[in-house]
Amino acid sequence: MNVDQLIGRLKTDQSFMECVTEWRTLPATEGHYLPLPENMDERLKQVLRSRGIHTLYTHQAECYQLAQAKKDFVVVTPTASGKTLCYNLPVVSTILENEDARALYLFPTKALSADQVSGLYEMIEALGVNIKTYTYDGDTQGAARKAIRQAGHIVVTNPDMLHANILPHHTKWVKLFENLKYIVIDEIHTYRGVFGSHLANVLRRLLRLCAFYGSHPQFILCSATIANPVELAQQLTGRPIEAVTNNGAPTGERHFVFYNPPVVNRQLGIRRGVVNEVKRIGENLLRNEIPTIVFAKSRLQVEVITRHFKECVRNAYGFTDRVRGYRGGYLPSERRDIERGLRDGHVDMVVSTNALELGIDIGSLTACILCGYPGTIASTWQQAGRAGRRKDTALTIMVASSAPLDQYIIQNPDYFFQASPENALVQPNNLYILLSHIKCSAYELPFDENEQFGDVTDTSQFLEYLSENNILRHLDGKYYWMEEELPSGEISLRSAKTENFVIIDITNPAHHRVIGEMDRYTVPMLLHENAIYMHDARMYQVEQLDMDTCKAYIKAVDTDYYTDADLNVSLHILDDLEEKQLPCGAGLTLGELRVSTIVKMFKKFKLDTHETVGFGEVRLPQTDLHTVGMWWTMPDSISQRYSNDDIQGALLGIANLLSIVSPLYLMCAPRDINVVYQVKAPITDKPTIFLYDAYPGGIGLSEKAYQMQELLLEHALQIAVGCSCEFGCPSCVGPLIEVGEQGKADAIALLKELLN
Amino acid sequence: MANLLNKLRMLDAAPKKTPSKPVDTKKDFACYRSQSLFPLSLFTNHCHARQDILQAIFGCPFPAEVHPEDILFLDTETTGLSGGAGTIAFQIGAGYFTASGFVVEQFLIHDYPEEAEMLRLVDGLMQRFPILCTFNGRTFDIPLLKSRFQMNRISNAHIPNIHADVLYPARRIWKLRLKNCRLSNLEEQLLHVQRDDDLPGALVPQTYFQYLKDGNFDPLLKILEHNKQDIVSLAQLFYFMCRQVDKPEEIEAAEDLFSLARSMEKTGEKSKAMKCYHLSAASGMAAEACLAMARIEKREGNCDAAVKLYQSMLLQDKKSVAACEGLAKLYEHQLKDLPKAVSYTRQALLLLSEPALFKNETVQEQQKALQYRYARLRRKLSKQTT
Repeated sequence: MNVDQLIGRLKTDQSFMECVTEWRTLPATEGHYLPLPENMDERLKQVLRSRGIHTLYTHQAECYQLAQAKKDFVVVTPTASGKTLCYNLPVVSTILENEDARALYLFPTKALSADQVSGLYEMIEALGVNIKTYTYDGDTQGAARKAIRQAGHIVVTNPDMLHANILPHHTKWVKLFENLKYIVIDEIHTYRGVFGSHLANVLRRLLRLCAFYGSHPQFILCSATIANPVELAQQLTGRPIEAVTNNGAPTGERHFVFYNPPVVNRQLGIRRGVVNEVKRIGENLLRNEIPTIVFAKSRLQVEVITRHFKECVRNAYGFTDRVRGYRGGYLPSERRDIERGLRDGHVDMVVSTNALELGIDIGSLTACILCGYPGTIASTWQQAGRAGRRKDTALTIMVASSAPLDQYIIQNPDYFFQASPENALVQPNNLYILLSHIKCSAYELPFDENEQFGDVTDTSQFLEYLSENNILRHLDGKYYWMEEELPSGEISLRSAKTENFVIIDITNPAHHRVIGEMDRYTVPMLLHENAIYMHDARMYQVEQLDMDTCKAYIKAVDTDYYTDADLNVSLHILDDLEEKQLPCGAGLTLGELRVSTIVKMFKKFKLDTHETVGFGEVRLPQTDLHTVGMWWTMPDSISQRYSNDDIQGALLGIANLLSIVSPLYLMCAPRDINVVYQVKAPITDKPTIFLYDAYPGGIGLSEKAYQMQELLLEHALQIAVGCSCEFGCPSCVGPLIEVGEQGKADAIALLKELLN
Repeated sequence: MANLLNKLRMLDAAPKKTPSKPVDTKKDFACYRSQSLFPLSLFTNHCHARQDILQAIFGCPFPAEVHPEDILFLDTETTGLSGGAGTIAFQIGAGYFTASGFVVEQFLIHDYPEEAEMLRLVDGLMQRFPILCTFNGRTFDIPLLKSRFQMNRISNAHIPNIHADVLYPARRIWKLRLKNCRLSNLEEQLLHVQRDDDLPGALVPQTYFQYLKDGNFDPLLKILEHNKQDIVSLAQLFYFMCRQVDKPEEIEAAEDLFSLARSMEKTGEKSKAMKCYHLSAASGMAAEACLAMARIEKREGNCDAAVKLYQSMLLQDKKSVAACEGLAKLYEHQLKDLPKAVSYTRQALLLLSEPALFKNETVQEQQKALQYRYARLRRKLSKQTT
């Protein structure tokens, strides 16, 4: 059965359709074309023609002309619109003209760069010219590194390598820096929040070195559809940026299905688990051999789902390779193997975290299942875009979880289809991030007294601070690096803490082997001692977690449960930045917070039924986060009217509502902010609700929330009032057992008072 | 943003470090220089540093005539080990031979702005020598110097084309016996140099930073002393090594002879290698040396000589699996005597099956390979008989 037949079948399947809240069919669109540019190198034209490309999409042609005009620009187009030609054509033709010219390509992940390089190789091979293109990342062998530094025309790498390896050792890359003509950055929409703020600073460092070596590279940036691509591009590069938005690529018909699992407990507002529903839908697609990608939310989910589907396809010989898991923790060789399988069709289903969301060219996928709402509109379109990359019909089924945000989206499809995708916010001048990169930059090249780092007008104050601490030496109008260690080593672009943990399988005592790695932030949740860790659908138990050496030792086990850790959070107010009083008497404050998190226990769940079967203790140190937050302080005039228990239920309810609403208004992912409450806040002793940025130093979300707090409260009230549940459910104030019988009513009453 | 500095100060609650001394600007930018002279009697006779010996040691071409005056011995002291653009060589020492003795010239910068001047002086010095000799300079000192030249915009610095890095051959020759091949250990074990009150290398960067902060020059004298001794030891070790390679019969330790032989074999010096293997066989490493010699003979096509070597091994040690395996291979592939090959393979398998042997993975793999060979030989044999 092909996908069109399957769609027909699904539409008549009553039990399926009962759960569908929206079936949106987006019609196919025509392509818009322009002839190959006249000023393009004849050799390049020939290669394009020989590959059946006789015309360019309009946006590709526009990019070529902008590049020729030496403009910095960003291309904003959806998946599968021939984006790579937008940068490869100008870069390759520049190198054809001038063989000294160099280009630097930045991709957010290694997998993506591997994919892009193989495409570029083919083009260069067809050209028959000696344009050396290399990937330079953690997997590159030592000997090859030297060759790349000397001779690579196009160096393909990622921001982390640029930050930790290339920039600090720039004197080994003289050829590249002296002749750098293009900096190509793909998928810039992924550089939001902390990662984006870091990248903006890495680029400031890069441009500073380019100036030292006398080059002035041009930027070519690519972005998926987000609300503010130009603003983001300008913040990242510090330059004025032109936008190319006229997508000329045709698209096939696209079916977007919103699927809400049936309610199993109406009082508690509990629905059937998303994993179970995905299993059911996925089996149907597998049976019909429709190439499918399943996007799960976490590594854990990937493993649970992979395991299930592998069982479904196990053949007489025990082979299960038609279904593969794919996530960040896999080793490079494993990932390459899966990518190959996808391309040559040996693999029918891939279960992935968002690692595959980015533009890896898979080609033949037809259907896409999303386990829950991916968190942002932009991300959802990106993931859905993985299916049907050619002009054929594509099917996307989004299965909602009972998470409140999912429920809001699934029940308000118009919000999803009409709202603009999110803003990508970055805060390059976040104090922590900026200071770190000024350090790195000072290591790379002594600062002049009057020099400005990017557009940071207070650069001299940072330099003065660093010399006060004997990190820099201020002498004769310059600031020199005065420490032994290389500063970039301790700064990770992707999370607050630095080193990754390696995961070591000690099942065979004579032969320990490393099977993966994990960032420090996630380790307490997934690799605490006695956790069940899954890797490629095999189960391991964590025997020992060594925090000092950053190693986790695991042993293969055969159990029928998995584990999930509980996170504890506590808050301290460090400083008030702004304050005002609301008409109702409540206080509103914007300030700095220290948030301490600790994992103290974990739960065991049965694999098939997901019921709780036990608990365990975790002994790990707490992690501190210094960030920006905003909070509402209830005045006595209001809080006096509630008993202690009631106010607790009300606060919890409002906190739950705010965490549903805020991501929609702040246009961020739910995990970017946290909302917590305290019945007696420190210092004031008053009931307080806090909302804070989940990143060190903050990324601007709380400031925005401070300004639009009324809107947030209004929308929260609207959801609570509009929800059909009686005493609370996960989609509004939270389930009855958490908020209590009065919880929903009290939350509504308190919200009304706050808005008074 | 007036309170930015305060905010920055709040970031780390760590107690404030002592602020730097107010800098008394040394406007003349003259870097510290010194010269010391050492008597030639400290060094092994130079006559062993011939072209053939040097090429055998370093595996790269050397000019036909190498005079002691042609070589510059160089060592740097740096502000860190990372070798990135922010690491500097604040002190550079260079030694060379003159008619009156071994001269060590040392340069040290009082502060960062003097770096360019020092680099120009070192560049001028390097210009006078065709050969450079260092200890681990290939991966550390020279890339770092190149980086410093780059940072100070000194283009076309004169780094000698021929670079003899003593670390690699030293490791090849002495690692087996001495384990630790750091310069300080080599000089102690081989040259019997005793350093008094030496500054550990790990403390060098901090010592220099401390000087920048407090201006007290005395601790730097220790760094200069350390660097000077490193350069003298380097030159001594260079000539000592040449002599050992030239006259292996003077070497006492069997491990050194064996390692030297192996290193000669690697650089393609067959006759020198065989000579050293013979010597090491005579002084206590018979089994390993015979095995290696048999390997060379076989490669050279002297199968009979190889057989003899293996058999002499078996005479010494009836339980030598390696000898049996070597014989089995020879009889199978070169001498085409399948029954003998089978018999030696069986003997090797029997030796490995002794329960006393700890069944580790290497033994298991060895067994597997032998069993595979055994099966193949049986197949070949039965084909031959039919």
